Amino acid sequence: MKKITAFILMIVMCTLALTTLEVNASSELEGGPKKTPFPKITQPILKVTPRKPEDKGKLPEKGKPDDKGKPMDQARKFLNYKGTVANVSATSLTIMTRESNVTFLVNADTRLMIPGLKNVKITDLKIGVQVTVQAFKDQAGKLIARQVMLIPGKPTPVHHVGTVSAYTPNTSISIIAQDGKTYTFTLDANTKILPADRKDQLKAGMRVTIIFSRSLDGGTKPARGIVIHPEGSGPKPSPSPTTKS
Amino acid sequence: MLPTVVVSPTPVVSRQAIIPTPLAATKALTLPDVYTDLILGGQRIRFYAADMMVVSMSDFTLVGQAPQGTVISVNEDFTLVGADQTFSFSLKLQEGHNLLEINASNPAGQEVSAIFVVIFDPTP
Repeated sequence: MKKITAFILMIVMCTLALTTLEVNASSELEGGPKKTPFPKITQPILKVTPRKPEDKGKLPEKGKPDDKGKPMDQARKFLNYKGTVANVSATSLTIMTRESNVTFLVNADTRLMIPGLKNVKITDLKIGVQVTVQAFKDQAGKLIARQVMLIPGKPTPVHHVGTVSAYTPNTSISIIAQDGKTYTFTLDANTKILPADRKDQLKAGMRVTIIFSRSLDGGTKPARGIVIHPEGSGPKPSPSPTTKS
Repeated sequence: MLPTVVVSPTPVVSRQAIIPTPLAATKALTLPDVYTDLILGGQRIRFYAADMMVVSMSDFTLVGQAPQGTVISVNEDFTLVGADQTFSFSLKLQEGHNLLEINASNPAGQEVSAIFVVIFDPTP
């Protein structure tokens, strides 16, 4: 009986030893899945950069704290809209987009831009004007206007094409335009002339385009640039009507 | 890294990168499929940009094609289109909405204009 028990015990021990050997061997097999060691973290995962004084007034960037050191709301996504002003008050703005009316809350951080105007207030926007709005949703899901920009109705023409009637470098240039009227523009050393290699050839009789700035006082317009066209450019004379006899 | 051009209206759609900076290189690069055409004197002026376009970098190059001799101005800058019939303007965008006032004229004295709003949004 003792012999039989000892024999069974030996068999069990041998089986256990063999199993252990197999497991060790399989983990050392070449080409088998290798475990990547967990990366060592040498730097803090979350780095909080305090806002600089010059950034005050700007909206905090995503992932950075706001002015009061509070953590930013989750991934702030900016939404862009274009439409006409349907309603405006000191604290809200409603615009009519192609799809629907959209209302935004306006606060002290809302950046307002009206070309040609400084110190703009939200109430400077009139109903019916076209604007673009960049906004984000607050935690309550309300749209907060980050930037409101007025779109001018149509750009004012700032090119004038004509034939030079008088030219004094760095002082003034006069052209006779298509409409037969003479227009004079002021020049200075910064007035750009294109093509640059023909700059010295500019004289009366040449066809040019004047690029000018809008004159705020309605007086003589300063020219930002002059483009000299090659001879023979410009409107082609319309063929004279032929009469059939 | 090139800026990703995205066109509104929402939902935004990712577009190909825009940036053929040196004028001579514009032909070698694939231009984005976003463009706006203006017609001046029966001829097409193509701007590879669109109103309410979103870009992710502040350096933005507006490129386009126009007949030789066309004068194009974008805000304070202007150029004369040469024999290669291409033009480019390097613009520095402010974060948020940027107004681009575009005027184009031909030697005949015809003029056409447009306004684009280009949105610089650095957030991914």
